[in-house]
Amino acid sequence: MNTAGLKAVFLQERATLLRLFAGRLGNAAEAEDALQDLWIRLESAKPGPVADPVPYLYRMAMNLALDRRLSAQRRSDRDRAWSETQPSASEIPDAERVLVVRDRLKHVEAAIAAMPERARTALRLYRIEELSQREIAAEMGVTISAVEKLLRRALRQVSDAGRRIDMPDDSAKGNDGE
Amino acid sequence: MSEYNVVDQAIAWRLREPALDADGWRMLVEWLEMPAHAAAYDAVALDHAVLGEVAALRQATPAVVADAMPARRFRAGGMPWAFGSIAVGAVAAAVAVVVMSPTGQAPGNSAYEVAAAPGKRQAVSLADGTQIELSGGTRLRLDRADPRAVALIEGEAVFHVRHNEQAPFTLNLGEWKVRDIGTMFNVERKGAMVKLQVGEGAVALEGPQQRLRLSRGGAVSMRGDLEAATIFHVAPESVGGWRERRLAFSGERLAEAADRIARMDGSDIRIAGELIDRPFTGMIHLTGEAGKDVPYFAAMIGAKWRRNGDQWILSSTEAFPQ
Repeated sequence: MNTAGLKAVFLQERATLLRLFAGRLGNAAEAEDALQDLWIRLESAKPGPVADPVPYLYRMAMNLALDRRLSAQRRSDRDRAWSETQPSASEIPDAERVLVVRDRLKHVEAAIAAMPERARTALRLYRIEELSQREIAAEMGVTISAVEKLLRRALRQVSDAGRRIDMPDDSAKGNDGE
Repeated sequence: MSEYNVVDQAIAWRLREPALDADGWRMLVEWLEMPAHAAAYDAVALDHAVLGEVAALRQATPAVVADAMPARRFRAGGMPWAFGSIAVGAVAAAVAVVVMSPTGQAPGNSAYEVAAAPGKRQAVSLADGTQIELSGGTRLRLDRADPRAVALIEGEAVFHVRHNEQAPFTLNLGEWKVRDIGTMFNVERKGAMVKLQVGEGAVALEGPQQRLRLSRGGAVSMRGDLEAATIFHVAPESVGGWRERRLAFSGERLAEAADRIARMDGSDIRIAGELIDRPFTGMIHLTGEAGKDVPYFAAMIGAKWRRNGDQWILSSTEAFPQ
């Protein structure tokens, strides 16, 4: 699948993509803007052959939406002085992502240090080596469902680390933050 | 429904994502339309990014190479990845950690080299707490007698320098040297070409006759002397982006850009003809696999590529990609 093929898939999935952006970004105008951004990226970024265009496109859209959400979160305290010298506009959200990531890092590191070795291994194979759950199962000599369980529990511990859970519709029941 | 379930669901979606088909994605889009779901998903997705930065996951078991290190070239990439999955593209840049000790100084020549082969990486921790991350195709010379003096012979590395008023850290770059003022910075060197970007703190770049002070976000690109240097600003967070396989270019010659990609991927890339001197601006996120990265780079610069054995040859084309 080449760029032309991806664009055809984009047009075919346009309504759902717009819905994704609208849901993630909260308003129609920004959703349209993000959709256009995605289209431009398809034009400029020439991916290698893409075997499965639909998931590829959605993942691209999801990452784009996530960058925009993080970006909006940081916009108020952003140092704009650098923006003019940025090599490309698309790098700005990445830089912001780095800042947000840094804020979370120590909590996540602490959670990982407290995990059993097996959980750490599973996380590394999943996140750093980007193996599928099937491959992780083969690597660790356990069943796929055991891998899934291990990863779910480990990711849950990571998610809870240092985070006060403030869901809009739920009373606070999370662990102690900070 | 408790918030625990929402977070668990978000994690389950995230885990399934790589295998979702079009219908699966439609269901996920629908699921995300609940604000509570969206908030949980964001947190999980952010943690996914954070996990990529966790040193305990990135590093293979640290090995201690101390005392007895002879004054010869250290073999890079000699540390096998702990698991036998090197064939997977994402693992191409296995990270090894070498811990140096200042004790046990060898008599006579106390200098030694640390190198990362093309396509590999290497991390070095010095006894004073200074840490150095070497990109592929990089050679450093260290001195056991003077741990505060390091030379970058060629390649690219990020330095996290522990400041010490009494013993300033010096990085030698041929005629030039960088003196830190407590800092993190990235340096790239090839012969007389030096590029320096400061991510934290400040450094002084000193030549035979000139001196330049750069602080956070400051960057310089030069060949020979400061008269012809380009001094500019970068986003401090983007300094050392090669560690996430992100390479940013702002007007470098294509030959230099290709060189940098080749070092990261351990590949051999040649830019043919008039393309060599064309400036290139843009950012590339490498996969670590030349088979994916080189054709992508070629497409970005509107070039044709072909292979000649292990060498990739990029040449100009009149036919614009549609």
